[in-house]
Amino acid sequence: MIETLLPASLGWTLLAFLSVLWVFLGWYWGRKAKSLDGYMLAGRNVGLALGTATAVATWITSNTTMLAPQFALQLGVWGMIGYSTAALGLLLFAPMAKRIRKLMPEGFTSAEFVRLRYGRRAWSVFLVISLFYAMTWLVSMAMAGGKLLQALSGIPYAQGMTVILAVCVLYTLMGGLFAVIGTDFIQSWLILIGLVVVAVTVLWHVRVEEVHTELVTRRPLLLAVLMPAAIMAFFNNMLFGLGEVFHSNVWWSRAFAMREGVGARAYVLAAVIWLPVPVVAGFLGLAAPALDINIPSPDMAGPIVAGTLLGQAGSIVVFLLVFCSLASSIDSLLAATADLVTNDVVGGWLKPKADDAQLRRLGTWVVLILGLVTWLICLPNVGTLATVLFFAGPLVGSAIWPILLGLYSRRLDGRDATIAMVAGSLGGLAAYQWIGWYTGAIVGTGVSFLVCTGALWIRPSTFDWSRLAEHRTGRTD
Amino acid sequence: MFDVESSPARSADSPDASSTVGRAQTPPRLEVAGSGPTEGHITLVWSVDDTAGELVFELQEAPTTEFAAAQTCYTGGDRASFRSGLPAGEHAFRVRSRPQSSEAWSAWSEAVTIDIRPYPLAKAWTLFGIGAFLVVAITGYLFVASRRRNES
Repeated sequence: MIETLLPASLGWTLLAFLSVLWVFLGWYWGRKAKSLDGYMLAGRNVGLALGTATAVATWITSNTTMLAPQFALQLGVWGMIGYSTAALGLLLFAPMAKRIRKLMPEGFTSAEFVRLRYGRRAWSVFLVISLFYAMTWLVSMAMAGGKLLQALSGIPYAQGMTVILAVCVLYTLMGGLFAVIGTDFIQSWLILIGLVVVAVTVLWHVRVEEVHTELVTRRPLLLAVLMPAAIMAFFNNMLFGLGEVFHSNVWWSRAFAMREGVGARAYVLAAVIWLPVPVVAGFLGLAAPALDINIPSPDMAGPIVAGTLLGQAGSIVVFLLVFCSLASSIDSLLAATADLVTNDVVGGWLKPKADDAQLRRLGTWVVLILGLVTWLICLPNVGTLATVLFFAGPLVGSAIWPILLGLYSRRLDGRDATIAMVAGSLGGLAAYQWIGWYTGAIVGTGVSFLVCTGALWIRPSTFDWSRLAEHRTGRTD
Repeated sequence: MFDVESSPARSADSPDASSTVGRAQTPPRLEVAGSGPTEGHITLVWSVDDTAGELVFELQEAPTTEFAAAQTCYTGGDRASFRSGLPAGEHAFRVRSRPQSSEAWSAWSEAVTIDIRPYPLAKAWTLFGIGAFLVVAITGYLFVASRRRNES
């Protein structure tokens, strides 16, 4: 129905080449992942360059290359700028990374922190939120992979999705976080170079003034400062981004993995590097009307514009960019979610007496099972990308204040943190359902904020920070 | 809820009705695949029964189903189009087809209309204000708390 940018044979060749390359690199870098520390946290010795690169690559997801142009095309300039504010999540996580490393130098996961700080009830709720979010993100990435490969090269959705997921599962289970961070470093460079090539090419074909004129004439609402839907979505997206970063084990595991003194600087640098990426990607969406390019489906705006302008040679760049964006996020999610399941669900609940060697072995099985579950969910290709993604907004928004106060204040206790997360999630989901998707994260964060501040005022408690040193789940209860 | 509806396009009244010549073709079926009446966008898809050969489609947009001031917003082989940035008010769409090797257009499809009604600005700014307050509170708390912890 829609013409592809590359012939399927070339698509398969590229896919095969990239698959072999990443699996080899994953195996090569992952050889050091013998112990549990090595497998889950890359030996806790990640430096500034690798730390920055892995944060950038992980945060440049296929949503950045697909959803930023979609937002720009749907919500105009506000949508594009709004998406770029997700960099604030990385920026604000910088001081938190330092604090996390200081409070729990031997820690493993974000859920482990919640269990030690707030107790098992809050831990259970947090695990549900965390695993739901991680699966939502993972599924949306894998689905995006299938859709993108199909749109770019005609590779059938099911086959493309299967290959990209299988490749990420394979190198993540072989090398753990060593493999993830190593491949992220190469992937971040390829992504940034690809984006520069695409941006220069687009600006070569169309001037910013032409885009502006065309939008003023034919789609004035996209430039309107007072576009109501965009105004409403602005802070919702920002809070969603903050919630994602603050609670997710993807970012916590990197905070644990980076050398002392590295985390804060790495996250600040990553935020600065990431900030312009959605603007570049979003501009593709805005440029489509000026270039007279038909966009059949909004979530394909970016790749279609880039591919149309760049021709076949350039489409290879887009293919690389997309594959790297997907792989760098899927591998991080697989590793971080597997850590949650291995450390917290298995080590903390199902097999509390398991030793490090047993957990290390179980970790590989968890990656495999996680990949399989994701594959089964993605296979029917149900739901649009944005819908799947934003469903998690209220949940992660509700975790922002409990995490913040948990790290910096002694006064919030576990019962109130639990109430804040439950009430915030339910309130946010209700708003999402009955008011609109653009309210979910705002309401989730707002309700949680009210519960937390009320609790601090009415019944403050006093937490003993030294309890966080009991770092291994299930061993010290 | 979406105020999206189909109605017969009055192709006979349209300025370019005379260009529909040649052998009779079944007009394409135009449908709405998705829409955001409060956000000003709609995704249109169309299909034809006649699958022989490559077809070219023309998609038109107008403020009413009269199509008096119609504008062609797409011509080509795609069978879907995402239209966004639509200002408040009614928008009508219709599509027609022709074989790539011929100039003979089919009749216009039935029109699809969407009534764009953006959210009230008061509601938008209320949410904006709540969101801004929360982000400032988070940033402010983090800034103050991390400085205090660093000092201690």
